[in-house]
Amino acid sequence: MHRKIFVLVLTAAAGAGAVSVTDWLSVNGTNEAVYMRQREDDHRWTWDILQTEVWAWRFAVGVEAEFDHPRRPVIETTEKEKFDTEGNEIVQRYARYRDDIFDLRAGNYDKTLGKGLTLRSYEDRDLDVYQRLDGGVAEACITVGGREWGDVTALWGRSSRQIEVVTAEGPEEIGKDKVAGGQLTVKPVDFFYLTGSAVRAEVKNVNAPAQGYPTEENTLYAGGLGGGWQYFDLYGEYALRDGYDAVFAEDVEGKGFYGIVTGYLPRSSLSFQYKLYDDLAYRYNNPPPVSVDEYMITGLDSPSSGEWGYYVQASANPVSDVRARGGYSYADDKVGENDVKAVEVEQYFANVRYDLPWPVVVEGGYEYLGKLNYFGEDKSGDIKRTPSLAVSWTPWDSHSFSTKFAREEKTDYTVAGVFVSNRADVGYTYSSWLGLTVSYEDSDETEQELVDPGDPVNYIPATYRYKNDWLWGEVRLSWYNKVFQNQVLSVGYGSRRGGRVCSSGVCQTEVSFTGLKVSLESSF
Amino acid sequence: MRTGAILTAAVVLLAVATPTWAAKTVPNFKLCNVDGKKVTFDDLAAKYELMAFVFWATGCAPCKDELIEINKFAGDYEGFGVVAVSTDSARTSSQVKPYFKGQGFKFDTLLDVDGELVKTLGIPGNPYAFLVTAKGDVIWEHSGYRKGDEKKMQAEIEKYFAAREPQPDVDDVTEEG
Repeated sequence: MHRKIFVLVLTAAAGAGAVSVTDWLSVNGTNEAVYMRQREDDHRWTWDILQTEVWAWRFAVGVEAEFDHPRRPVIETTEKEKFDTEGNEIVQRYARYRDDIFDLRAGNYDKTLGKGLTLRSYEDRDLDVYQRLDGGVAEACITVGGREWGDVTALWGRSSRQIEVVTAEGPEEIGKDKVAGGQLTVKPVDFFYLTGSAVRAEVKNVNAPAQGYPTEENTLYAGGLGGGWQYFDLYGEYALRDGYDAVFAEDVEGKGFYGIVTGYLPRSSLSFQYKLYDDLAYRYNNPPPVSVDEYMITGLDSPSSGEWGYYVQASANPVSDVRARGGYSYADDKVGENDVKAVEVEQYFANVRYDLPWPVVVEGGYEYLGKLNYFGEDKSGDIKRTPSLAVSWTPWDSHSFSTKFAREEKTDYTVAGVFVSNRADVGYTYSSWLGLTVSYEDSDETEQELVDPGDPVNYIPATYRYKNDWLWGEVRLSWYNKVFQNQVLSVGYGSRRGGRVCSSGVCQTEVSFTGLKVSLESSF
Repeated sequence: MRTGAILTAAVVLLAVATPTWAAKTVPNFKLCNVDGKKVTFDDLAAKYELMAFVFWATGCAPCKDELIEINKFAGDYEGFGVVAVSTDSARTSSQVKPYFKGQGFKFDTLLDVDGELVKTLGIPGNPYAFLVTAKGDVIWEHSGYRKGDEKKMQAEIEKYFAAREPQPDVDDVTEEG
């Protein structure tokens, strides 16, 4: 029965493709169907993800559905993965009305207020939180005399996912977080604006004792201002939390700040970002990242209730064929009087690209992540380095060749020495409809010993498997037709290490895999 | 199971009810650019006859390659404009403007912080590119980016401008009048 529905939906999606029946009715969406067969144990997976939105005049209905048979292989690094189950699931559904002034939605929705200090309601894989809301959100532009003076947002809802805890009797549902709040942004002049938000939340405490599951009550306020001129712009947001922790029966206060200042010169920019997060209630309310890869100390195993850090980034195009970027970030988790500096990391990167006069592009990059301190122990030798060099060549308009070499070195001097991985990718593209990619990677076995979920430098999800040689080949075909605007068929075979995999220009995080993978991606 | 069957039935009904096949269209939308100014599709359509919408994110290396390549011919066609759309979330959107302005791109980028345009247009992932007429008709779209893909887009742009009917010369109209 599952398979029948799977096939039916694929067929139906094909039929619904590229529909713009009249000026007032249209259907847009994507469908991804995947088949994987693992060579070692002949295990097979099939899954399909359909996203579609139907617009009739100013009204819309949106649906996102997943069909897994069995549950697809995932990297189980997030809380969300614990909720994923085999079978059919409507992941998101909503109804919407939109005109020039109002935008109203009911159902499941994602919303961010300001920079997320008081509310950021979307799936956040980095922070292990799945926080889409069920409820409603209403937004309106404040327009007077043809000028927009700002906008206002009101929202209410409950977290979409049912939170469960595992007790001696088995999994037990403890309810859903409740959230209500809003935001007002005022733009008195074109180059300056003020924004303020307030959110009240009742949060189920999953770490509470098994009986009762006390609810934490929090009210969060945030205010911000931003503006931009020709040579610089700035944004700052400050948040306060006024809460009550029912587990410890005590009031809790917290604060947070995020700010960014950027200066612009011709063909270049320099920005400075600062964040402070001090007991602001939820991990998913952390301020924006200040590091290149969004390492969040409090998202790992720091005992502290917050972190602070800064990030400096430069971007330049000094001459037309040269582009350069670079950045440095620092963060640690000493934010309060009683906190100790338990985790301290720094990171920097540099990247230069040169488009040579003939059709050759050379790009070199270097990334470094260092852990300076870990629970009082000097870890300044504990680092990760990733140098890379890429060369691409387009001898004729329709034919392109690309090669990329990347090396990854991780050093944990107290545990297991150096892990080294060398990777080479060779690709060929004909026009935009055929792509061939072959990837070879040679990696150390010692990686196994470096698995540590509390370590930002050496954290490797346990589902990554390692051996010495990995070889993956992939063919990618793309075409257009009356039904689908764009379809992409990919057929890959071989083995790959997993982690962040970039193939034919699309990057995604994948599990380690040996075998056959076929996918058909359709856009309509 | 029941929800899957309902969904299936709904999509099948839509397919059956479709009287004609037509091009995908871009509805009017409203997004902020990096300067905080709200931009609608109608604003863009009033400015350009043909537009390339390029979806990208600061953490996506192939997207940046695509923007750089498209930038090379962005100003070469009269009536053609490039509109980059950043899919960075609120957390990383602060990094969009410093990167974008520093790299000297000739075109503007919009911020789709909550992924609304992504959802409306059915973007499966970054990078993704569309060619859209001022009427909102999508005439070409492409998923992913590999070196050389920009040539295909350029060929489609040239094909579009070559195929369109010649515009009446203002002087000729005056003389006839």
